[in-house]
Amino acid sequence: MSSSSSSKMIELRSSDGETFHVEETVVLQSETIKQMIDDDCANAAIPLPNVTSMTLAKVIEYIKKHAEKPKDDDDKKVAEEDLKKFDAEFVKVDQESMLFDLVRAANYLNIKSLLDLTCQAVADSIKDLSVEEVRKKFNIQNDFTPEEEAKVRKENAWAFD
Amino acid sequence: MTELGHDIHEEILLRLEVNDLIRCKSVCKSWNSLISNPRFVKSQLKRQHSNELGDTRIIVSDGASSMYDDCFYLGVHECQLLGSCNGLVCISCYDTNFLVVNPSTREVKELINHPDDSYRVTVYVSGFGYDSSIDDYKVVIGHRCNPNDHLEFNVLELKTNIWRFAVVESDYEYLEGNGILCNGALHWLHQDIDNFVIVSFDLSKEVFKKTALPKLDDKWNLGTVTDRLCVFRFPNTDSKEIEIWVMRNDQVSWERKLLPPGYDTNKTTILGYIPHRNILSGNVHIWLLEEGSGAPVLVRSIDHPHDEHIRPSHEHIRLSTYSECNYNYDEHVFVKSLVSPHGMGNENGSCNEESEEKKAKRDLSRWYWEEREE
Repeated sequence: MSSSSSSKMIELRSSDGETFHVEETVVLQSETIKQMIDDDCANAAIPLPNVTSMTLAKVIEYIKKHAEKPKDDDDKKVAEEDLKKFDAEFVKVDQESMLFDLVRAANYLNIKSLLDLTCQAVADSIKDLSVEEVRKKFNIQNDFTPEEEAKVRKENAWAFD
Repeated sequence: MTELGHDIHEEILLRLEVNDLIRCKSVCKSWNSLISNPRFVKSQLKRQHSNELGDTRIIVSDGASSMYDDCFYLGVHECQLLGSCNGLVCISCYDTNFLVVNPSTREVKELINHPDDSYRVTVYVSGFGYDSSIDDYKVVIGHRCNPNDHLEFNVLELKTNIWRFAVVESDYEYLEGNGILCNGALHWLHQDIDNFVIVSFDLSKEVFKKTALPKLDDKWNLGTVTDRLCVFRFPNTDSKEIEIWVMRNDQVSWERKLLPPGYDTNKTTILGYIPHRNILSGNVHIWLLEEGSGAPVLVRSIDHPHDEHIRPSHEHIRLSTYSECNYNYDEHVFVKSLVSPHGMGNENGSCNEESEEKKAKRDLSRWYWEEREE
């Protein structure tokens, strides 16, 4: 749709050495990469040591979709709906670790809308979990003493119903 | 599984509901202190205000029973809601005194007695709101010591919990009721000789101001739409449209809007309308109160008449357990927040001692929350 004006391509390299070519206009959604380009550090492939190729492919899928520009106002409404559906599907990942990887990547690459989307998905997934299940999910050690934990729970007992 | 950093935990927690956050305090020490941190509390509140799907509700006091799940009772009698701001609700009770509660965290703060012991029969004007200049909440009470006296205003700041004299007002003889909170000021509709005006009380400067209205007769009500003040007309069965005048950003001129009919007047006795703000989309949501249920029902939004994706959340505090169910509903826009009526420590972490004090107060509190049965 928007490829008529040929945009400069940026090369990204994942932690496992795979390279991806993405249009500059698309990749600018990442504040981190935008900063690199502004600082003229993007002449060679940009190394992303914190992002695996699998995650990076997903991130690129996301920013490509979000870079599409609707032609007119009629189109805009349809596109908005379409994007909503895309987002909803996007966070339905098979493995939970993938969602966490996406959160981390969105945070590292500083893509606000993706961070928002993925954090909300994680938040939604812990809504009905017990405290123990939340700890397990986030790999958090319970560092309360039994007395401390009992106290905190007692104070907020009503929230556990 | 690889771990997420602390800053990402914060991003995720900010997207949880208050109930979940309170449970998550038990996960570990760092989550407990994060969720209790005043900076986090403010970020969470900011999200509530800006989030289209945030927990914005209408809070209602009434004596009728509720048919909704998300409901709990505060065990006090014969009360009136004075206002709601940032998740806190200010309540005036007959058998005690003023309370400020956070229904989401169930914290209750009892305010010190008003200097005038006979205030209960002489309160004419009241309001509750946030003063950003001192980062504190204020309760404003206007009363007359004698029927012929001018209105005397006293203000209580939540942190100090002391009533102090603010101002005597002689210009607005007929001022009464709860002030509508909007942009740091309380507002009332007031009949000024032969026309209606808006009288506002700036919560920071503590001064009154008068604003002209469009030419109106007396059947108008004050409300807010997207952080702007508005006046709207109680519809009658003959008039199918709801007329709303919204104040423009210049704070002087007004913009007229007509709300398409969207309710079945045969089924519902309309007791009151609240234009319900929705910041992101700019839609106006109108809620109506059904007689007997006391529960607000979302009727319609202006821009998308068929779009009811904002779920009407029904959380109401039942405040009166006496049989006199008066139909004088006090309804206020309410957001769920972690804001404590006992105040907060500073953002650099001295909140530990504060929270000990807070806990002690909470233990002393003789207020109880009663779960709805069934």
